[in-house]
Amino acid sequence: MMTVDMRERRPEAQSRSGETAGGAARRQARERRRLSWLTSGPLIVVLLLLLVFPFVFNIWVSLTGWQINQGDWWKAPWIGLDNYQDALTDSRLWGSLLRTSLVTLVCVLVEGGIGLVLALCFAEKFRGRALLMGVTIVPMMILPVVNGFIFFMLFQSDGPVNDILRTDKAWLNDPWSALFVVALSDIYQWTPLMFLIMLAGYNAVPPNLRSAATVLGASRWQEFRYVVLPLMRPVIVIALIIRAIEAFKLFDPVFILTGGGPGTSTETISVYLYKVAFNDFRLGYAAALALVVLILLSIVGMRAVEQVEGRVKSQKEETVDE
Amino acid sequence: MVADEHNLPAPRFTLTRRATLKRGGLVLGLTVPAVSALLSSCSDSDGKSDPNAPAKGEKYGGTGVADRAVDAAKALGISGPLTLVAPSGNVGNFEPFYDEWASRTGIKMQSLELPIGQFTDKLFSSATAKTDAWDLIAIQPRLMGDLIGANAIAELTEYVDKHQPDIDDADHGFLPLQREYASRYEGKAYAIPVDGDNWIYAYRKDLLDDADNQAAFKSEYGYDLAPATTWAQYRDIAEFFTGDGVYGAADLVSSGWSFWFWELRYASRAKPQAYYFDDDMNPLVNTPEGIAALEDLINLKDFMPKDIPSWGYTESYAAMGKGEVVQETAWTSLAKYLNSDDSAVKDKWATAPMPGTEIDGEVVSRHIYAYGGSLVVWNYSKASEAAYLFAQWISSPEISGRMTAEAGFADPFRISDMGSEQLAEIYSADVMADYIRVAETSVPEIMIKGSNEYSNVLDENITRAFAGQISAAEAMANVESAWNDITSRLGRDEQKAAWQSLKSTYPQG
Amino acid sequence: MSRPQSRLLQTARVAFLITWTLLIAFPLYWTITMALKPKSEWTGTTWFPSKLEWSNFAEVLIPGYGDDGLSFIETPIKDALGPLKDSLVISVGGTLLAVILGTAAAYAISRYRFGGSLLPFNILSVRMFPPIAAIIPLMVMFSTVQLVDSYVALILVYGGLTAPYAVWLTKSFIDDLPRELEEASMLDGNTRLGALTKVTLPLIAGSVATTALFVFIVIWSDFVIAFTLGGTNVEAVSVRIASLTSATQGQLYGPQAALGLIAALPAIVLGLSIQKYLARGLTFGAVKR
Repeated sequence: MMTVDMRERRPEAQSRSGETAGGAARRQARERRRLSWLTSGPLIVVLLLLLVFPFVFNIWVSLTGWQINQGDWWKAPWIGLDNYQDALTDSRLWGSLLRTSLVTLVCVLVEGGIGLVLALCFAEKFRGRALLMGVTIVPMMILPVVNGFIFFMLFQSDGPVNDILRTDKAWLNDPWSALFVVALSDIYQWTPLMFLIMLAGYNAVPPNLRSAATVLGASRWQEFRYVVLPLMRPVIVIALIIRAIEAFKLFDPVFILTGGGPGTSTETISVYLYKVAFNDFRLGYAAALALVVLILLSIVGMRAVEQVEGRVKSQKEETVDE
Repeated sequence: MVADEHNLPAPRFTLTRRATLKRGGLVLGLTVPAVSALLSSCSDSDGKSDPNAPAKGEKYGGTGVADRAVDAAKALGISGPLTLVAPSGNVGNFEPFYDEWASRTGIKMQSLELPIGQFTDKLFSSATAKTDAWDLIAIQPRLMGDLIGANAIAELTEYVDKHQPDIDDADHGFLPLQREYASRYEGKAYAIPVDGDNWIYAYRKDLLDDADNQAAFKSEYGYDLAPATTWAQYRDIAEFFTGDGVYGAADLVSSGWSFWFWELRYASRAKPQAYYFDDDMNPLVNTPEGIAALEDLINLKDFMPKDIPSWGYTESYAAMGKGEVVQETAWTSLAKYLNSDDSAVKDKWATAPMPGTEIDGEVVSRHIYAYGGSLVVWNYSKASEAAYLFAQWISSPEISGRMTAEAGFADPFRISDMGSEQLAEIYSADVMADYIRVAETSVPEIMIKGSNEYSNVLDENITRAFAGQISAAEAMANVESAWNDITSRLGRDEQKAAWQSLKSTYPQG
Repeated sequence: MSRPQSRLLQTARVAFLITWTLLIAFPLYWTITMALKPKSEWTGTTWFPSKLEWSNFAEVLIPGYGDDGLSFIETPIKDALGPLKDSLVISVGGTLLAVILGTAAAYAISRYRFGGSLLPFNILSVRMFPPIAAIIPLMVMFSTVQLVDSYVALILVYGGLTAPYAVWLTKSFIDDLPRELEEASMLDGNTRLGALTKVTLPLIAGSVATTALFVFIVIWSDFVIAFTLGGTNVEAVSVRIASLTSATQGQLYGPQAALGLIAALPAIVLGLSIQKYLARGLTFGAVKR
């Protein structure tokens, strides 16, 4: 019964006031609306300012050949859908999209997996837990720029990693190993966050359910598989989604470790967009690329969220049914 | 203003730094302690340590370029501060002179450093944002066309006419060719050069002169071991010396650097000149010459340090300075570095004319003018004339020699500095002796509008070819088609005009 | 609780924790020692610094430190006090803005089902915007209102772009609070706002603190927005660290690591001070208690 939604008690709460039911309800509805707008209005205004203007602006300039070295945006020549046509055949766009998806997938799964295991490790109290936990979350407190430089040093051919492995591999000069180092630095940076989210999710599992499972003779694995994991699933999914959204924008480590090289072999979508905009000065084209990416992301993202919402709902119903 | 807090307090740059320099430079006859003592007393008394600067209130005299700038700046009656923007680490070329300028004109200066790897990005994003926080920028002159197109820099013709920086003077003007490449765009004045940046070929004299090496080399390659005169020999020498932690070369093939090293090799591939485009702006790089130039670079792969694809020039300078590299093509400042206290090969290296290509039985050797350094005035500056005057002053014949000698990696850029003993000491006499010849024959990098994009495409394809992802021929074919795209986007006719203008400045023969 | 496999599990857990800690500690160790190494040991492999060089810290903390005694090819390193201050201002400002806006909106969404079920997703989709897609228009926008490169602009952008996380993080906590608490307080004569601030807010303080830490880290870590929308008047620490290069010496790894460690302190201190909430706070609304 623990998942009964407070919102469902609203009618009951309303009928508590002593006035005539209809008038009170109208008045309360009005007040609700007023308070809703009062509390969420500022955020909506800020987001509209930060997003709607850029969105409209991007649509406009994506239809022009605006380049920084050709003057102001309102003077840029109108070229219709040319930018979009170019985008469809732009191998660097699709290459970087694929690459970013791959890195995102790998990083998010690894971070999620390690995060979950770490959360289970830290679930129970043990000596030195606070200290170890402190160390575990430090990497996410260090600026990605700094981690980028450190990983750059670690993976130089005369660096410490090669010293341990007794090789002289030039990690950052080979497309795949360079991508590997980029992914590694992201995993290093953000596993702590996944761990914290997973830990919070684990702690939200009611202990009485776990002890009930134990009383019923479940093994540790059964308890985890049939009690903890299903209850944690929404947290895990949301953690993966949030990390995926952020990882998809991966920029700093690539920028510092490889600059997208060798060649274009480690370019992520953010790095490619950045280069189109600020190295090639093609702002119109950058806007078109960004919109293409945004549309693709929204479709994928919407799907993912529908799934989560569906799961959460069905689970809610399950528990209510019990 | 954040920059205020970063502004340098007066005595920062003074004593030891200059003392070190003078020890090596100017006052050779004096003993070191005497010089130091002399300098330190100067420094204590009026906060200025440079005996080369005339005392406060006195004129610089000489050609009058500096005095004209100071007088005009004083007459403006403003106090600044003016902000000079430079890539990180490069403000050292200018900062030592801020106090002197301020004490004479009342106009304070401050610098802003931007990450060197993202300097261009930031410059152009700021042009979009039209920030007004800057006055002067130290740029690579190749960006002039793009900056003009972005309305980011001011035309200086009016100030040049009014204040006479003596750009073209035969005795003390800026170096020939360089004044075309680095101060004008399509014939109009936009920039003041502050860095020579010609190129040199440096090699380890001790190793090449060694009798055992010479015998072994001859038996292996069938000709005498000597500084390379062709790129093929450059490769052979690189191969011969590679081994045991020593590498044959350290030419840059990394992202952001590689295109210059291709341009250097391409430049000697045709007579009279290997042009980048024909007169209709059709790229000439997807040719046997263009591909061969790229192969010259790729052929060095096994003879260069493993991490070379991620190196910038500081790493390659350092490697040669440590004695790990036998030969390099680089900017003239390499000479400065190899002669400095940081170098382990101080007396063991020398320069030779740039390797070239044998065409019709004759070796064609070309140097390029690339990177460089010029001061431009930001279009949104609120004190553009004062900013211009600072540039005129610091580049004046009265200051130019001191600037190249005392600070950072700027290389000589005024004709009048060519005979300087101090510079001969810092750079080596033979480097300086050859400097004016190189300056008269250097060909430009791609210095027309779109330069950044043309160069980026080139760079991207060179690095990919070097990494083995595509062949040299594929790389140059990609470059050709991308260059055509860029030209059409920027307007073929305008690009043709810009290219004609640049082409007309190439040295003859 | 004694179960057959618990000893095995115990061993596995210890082994995993040790391995992980070592893996984590390796780059950390390299960062810390890098910050203490003399210049000659920055590159290559030096496992133990030959001596502890505190000057890397001094260079970035003390104005004018170490500028004497440079050879003519060295350039002095500027102190990073300005960037530290700038980063603090924009991060604290952005965090406050995000938490205030986010908590308020979360309250409306939770209590009044404001915007229906799609709003939370729409708000989160803000995070999907590729940074460049937002940066260029914002640059144009701020330049028309003369706010480019200012605290206001950066605080607004950071606050706005991280507020979605604040909404998601606090919403579930407000969901969990029985409305009756507020209603009881209102029956005692408090206004709705009074009930909100006196009853609800204190109860969700832990979650707000967690949210604040998370948002703070996101803002504090950012490079690309700080670099493109700031950089001149407002210079973030991350931008300064990337600028710590010398024309003649290349990357200044020692000072970069030193400044990196200094820059990690605020987040670490914050993190440690709210550690007990951290283990419960970051559920992003996906858990019902």
